[in-house]
Amino acid sequence: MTRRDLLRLGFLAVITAPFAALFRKREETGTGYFWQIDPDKCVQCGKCETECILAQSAVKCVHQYASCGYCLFCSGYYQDKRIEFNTAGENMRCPTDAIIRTYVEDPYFEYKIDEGKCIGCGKCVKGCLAFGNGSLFLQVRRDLCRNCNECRIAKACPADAFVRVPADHPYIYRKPPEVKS
Amino acid sequence: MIPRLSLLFAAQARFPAPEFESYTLPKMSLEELASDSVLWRVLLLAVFLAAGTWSFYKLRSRKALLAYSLAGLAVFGFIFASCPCPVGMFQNIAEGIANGSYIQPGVLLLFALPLAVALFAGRVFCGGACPLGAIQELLHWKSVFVPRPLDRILRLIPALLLLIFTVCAIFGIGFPLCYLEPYLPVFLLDFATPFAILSAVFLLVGLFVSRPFCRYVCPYGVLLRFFSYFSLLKPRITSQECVNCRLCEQGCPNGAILPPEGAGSTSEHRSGFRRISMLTALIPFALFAGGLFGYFCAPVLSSFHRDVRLVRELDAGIRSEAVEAFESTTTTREELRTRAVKLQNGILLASTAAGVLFGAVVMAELIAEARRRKEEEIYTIDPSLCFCCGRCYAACPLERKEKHHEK
Amino acid sequence: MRNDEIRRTLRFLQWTALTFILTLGLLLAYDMYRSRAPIKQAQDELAALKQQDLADAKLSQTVRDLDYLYRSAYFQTKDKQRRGVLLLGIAFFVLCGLFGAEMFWFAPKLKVPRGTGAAPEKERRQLLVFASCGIVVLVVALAVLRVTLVPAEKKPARVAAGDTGKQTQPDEVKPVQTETIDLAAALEAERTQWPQFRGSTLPNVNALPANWDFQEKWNSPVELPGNGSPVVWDDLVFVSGSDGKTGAVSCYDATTGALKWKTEAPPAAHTPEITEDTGYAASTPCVDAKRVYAVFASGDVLCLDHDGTTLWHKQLPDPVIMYGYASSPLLMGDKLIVQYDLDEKQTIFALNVFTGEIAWQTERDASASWSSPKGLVVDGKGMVFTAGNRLAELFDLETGKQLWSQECMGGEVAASASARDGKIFFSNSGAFTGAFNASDGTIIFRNDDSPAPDVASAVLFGDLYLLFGSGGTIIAIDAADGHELYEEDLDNGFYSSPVTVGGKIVAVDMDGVLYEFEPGSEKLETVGKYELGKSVVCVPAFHKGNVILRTKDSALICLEAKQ
Repeated sequence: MTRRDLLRLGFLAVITAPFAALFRKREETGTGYFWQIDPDKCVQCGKCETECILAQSAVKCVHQYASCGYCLFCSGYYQDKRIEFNTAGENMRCPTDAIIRTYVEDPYFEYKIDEGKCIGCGKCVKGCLAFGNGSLFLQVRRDLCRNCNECRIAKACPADAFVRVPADHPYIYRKPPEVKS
Repeated sequence: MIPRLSLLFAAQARFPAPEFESYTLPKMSLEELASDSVLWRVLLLAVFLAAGTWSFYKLRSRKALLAYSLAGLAVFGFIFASCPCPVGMFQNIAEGIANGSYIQPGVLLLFALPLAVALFAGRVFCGGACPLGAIQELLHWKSVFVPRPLDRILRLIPALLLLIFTVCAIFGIGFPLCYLEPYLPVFLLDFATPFAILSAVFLLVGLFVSRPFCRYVCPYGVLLRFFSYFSLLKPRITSQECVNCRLCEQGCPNGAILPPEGAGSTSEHRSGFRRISMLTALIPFALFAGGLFGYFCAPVLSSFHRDVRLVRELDAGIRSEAVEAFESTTTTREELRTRAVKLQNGILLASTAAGVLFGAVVMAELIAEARRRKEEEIYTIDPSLCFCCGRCYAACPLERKEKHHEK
Repeated sequence: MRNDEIRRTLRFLQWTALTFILTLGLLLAYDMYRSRAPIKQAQDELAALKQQDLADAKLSQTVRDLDYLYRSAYFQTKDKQRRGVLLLGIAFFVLCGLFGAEMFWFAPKLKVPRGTGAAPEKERRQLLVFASCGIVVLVVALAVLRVTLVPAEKKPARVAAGDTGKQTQPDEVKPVQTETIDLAAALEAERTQWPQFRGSTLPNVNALPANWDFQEKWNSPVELPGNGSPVVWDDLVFVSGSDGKTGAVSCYDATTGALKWKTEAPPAAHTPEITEDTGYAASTPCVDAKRVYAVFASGDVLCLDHDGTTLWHKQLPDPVIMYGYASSPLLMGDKLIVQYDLDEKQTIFALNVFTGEIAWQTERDASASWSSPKGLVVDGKGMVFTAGNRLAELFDLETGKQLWSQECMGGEVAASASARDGKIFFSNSGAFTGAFNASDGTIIFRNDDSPAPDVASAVLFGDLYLLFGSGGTIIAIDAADGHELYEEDLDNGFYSSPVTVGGKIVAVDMDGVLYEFEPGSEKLETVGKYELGKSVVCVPAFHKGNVILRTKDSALICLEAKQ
């Protein structure tokens, strides 16, 4: 065995050393690999729309129907200055008309996000949080996100709201509210 | 699938969920993740490395290696969008070790596989399994030869970057290599961000200077260089057949083929000996200077960290978005400050250590270059610099003659 | 030769592809760069326009058009860019392929090698030269980066643990307690003044104006806006205001309306998040014979003397609370009670009025609330009643010990309680309407049917407890058992809490109509009605038969009855 061979074995051992980390106990929350937004930390700054390396951001608004109040005046759909229940441009919060409002039963309306139009600006989220239940929130879509090792939006996020999630829990939901007795 | 729940921001919802008579809540259209593609990547990487080793050492064919590059570009570059790639994995691993968190086996394998192969077969990874290398390989036109001394000095930049990026990864500043990866916009075919300019610059430079990223930027290359120095299989120029036609030296645009030195005069030997003794004597000074350099770099590095920046903004009274977002959290300023100060101290220590290491690397390079080459009469290939591109096979007339005879 | 021709064609194609890519790339980049700014500008413009009152049809049409324009521009630009990039990608692949083809089919074109071969010695010397140059470059780069990235103080200054980043006044003389205040005497002295939110702790004995036919005696603008009500002591009127960056207490002469002084609070540690309705100074100040106390939404508690000199300043922990902090402090003898029910943590602070130090603080497990504490005296001992989401509690004034706690509240508690004869009355929509026994906290009665107010605190009058809603409905319930007696619908709602003065109820609605009510057992008599014409959300103050109002547009108006 030459010195080279010995050295070679030594370095092979060195490379395999990190594998010892595999035997460490896996944490419960599990540091995953895929990027996701923690809705409670998000401050709806609007950077999700502009910072993604893709031309159309992989962040989209998501509606948790279980938490929605189905209100006539949805503060995420309508903006607060003008309260007329039509689809005129000046009444809407969403800049790209990505929320579809449909009548369900009296006095409830369903609000659905049109994913093709949503640009991830977060304006509806802000409105929903201010005067509503907070059932609208931004999430990174798994089918669009390219899973960069260093997410550009994560780096730019002022609230440090990006976390890495494991493959089996790719979305972080808001807990549905308890109904008052 | 149980969705991961997070805490509600206020105690109760303002508007209680309605009880519907005839309406059922629609499903949230959140698709589950199909598969963890990191392990697929590892599998394909293994296949490619095997194919590359075969093409380089057995087939000895430039054409095969070109195909290898093209395939690597298509698969790892465009289909997998090059993220995560082995080049950046050292950051993930550094962070994982520093945080004590679980490192995925896929990540470990991605990092270790090219290095293990380098230990036995040289830098086959760089030949075509690395999409960054492949794109530089294919988009190289007219070679501008970089003078060897300049080349050797520029090759120290990757070492510096490796140390800086490792420090950044350990302390949670981020993954600068992934943030600044020059070819990612090309792989994603999305030039929305200003980083596309970086892409364009590297591609343009790459047309004339061979493999600018691989040679002068890639931090992973430092590790590959180190491991491939001891490789079992090396590209070798056999002394019996070489006729010193010098065509391979020109054919290799990466400066891996070193010309012979000749016997050398006595005065040359003496000056060489003096040079080496001077350099050896300078080692402690270099280490000290490196440590000092690292020490002074520390504040610069720590200013890139989110927490430190936040504390600085708070102290200066700047009301940035980050400050306002911070104030809506439950962390107190004291906690933030303690964290930032602890980070700063850590970065100071790590930066100084990294500086010392860099000093050592610089001296090692200078001393290694000051030594006389082993082969006095024929050309040699430095296995740590050879990217296994196979241009030398195409250039060498004896190689072509051999092939012709085989046919 | 055939090979040469192919080679030349390949070369030509490569050149074309390269030029095409370069031109297209440059055009695309330029287009992307150029289009970013106008789209952002249009977005901002639209947002600004939407903030205005869109009742004007022309304005709303403009907004509509602009919105459509922005939307179509946005998606069209994105589509155009995507198509451009796709084309670029294809051209790029073609170029790759062409290069690959050339390399694949043709041997490399090798020229005669340069020079005479290796010159290792020269190279080695050059290497050392380059190494030195490299070191110089590194050092210069480091120096430049240090100058640009690292601020003057190299690291965040290592400060003591208690530093919250606020500026302390190093030459501030620490006040010392040199006297004691007798609670009973202090409470009695308050009754003839108007020193706190909704008057005084014990029933106020100020006189009403002679008639309800008012004229403006004086009108003074208040520089910094705030929703805290004005308070009066002797001939001085005090108001607090803040714009988020600076908070200040202003003092006006009650007879002439002249501004006597305005003292600013130390710069706030941070600007809290509030809604426009709340503002940064929604807490009404308290004033006693010697000092005036103001609380701001940033958690600053400021104490000044009647000449405007700052006596002490206390920074309470970061008030993170939805809508913004709005609870008014309660002055009881030598303690200033601050109900600090935030989103995450709920504490009642009692500050020593002389020194500003915390005499006691009691934490409770409630939720965010905006109600102000109510002081009362039971068996000669001072007590503090606090209402919050979930809990209604009574604390001992001296020690802060919780005497009893009733879990009966809910929703968003913003109104404050009234107390009389050992009973505590409270009404808030979504929470609780009823009365407690002050000694042990038992609920005497509760009325869950009558719609309760959500902002204005209800008022006691004789045998009645009147609830003034923000929709304009006034409901009278029996103070003994809580059953609804009658209700009255007025035009506008009340945000300002009604008060009992001189045997009548005085209230001002959101439109600025000042009412004088005499509630009977069967109906509400409107004895006086005066239209100020300006929106008012603050409680009026009384001074020598004049009424002092603070309007929403931040002006202090004193009304006197016409002779």
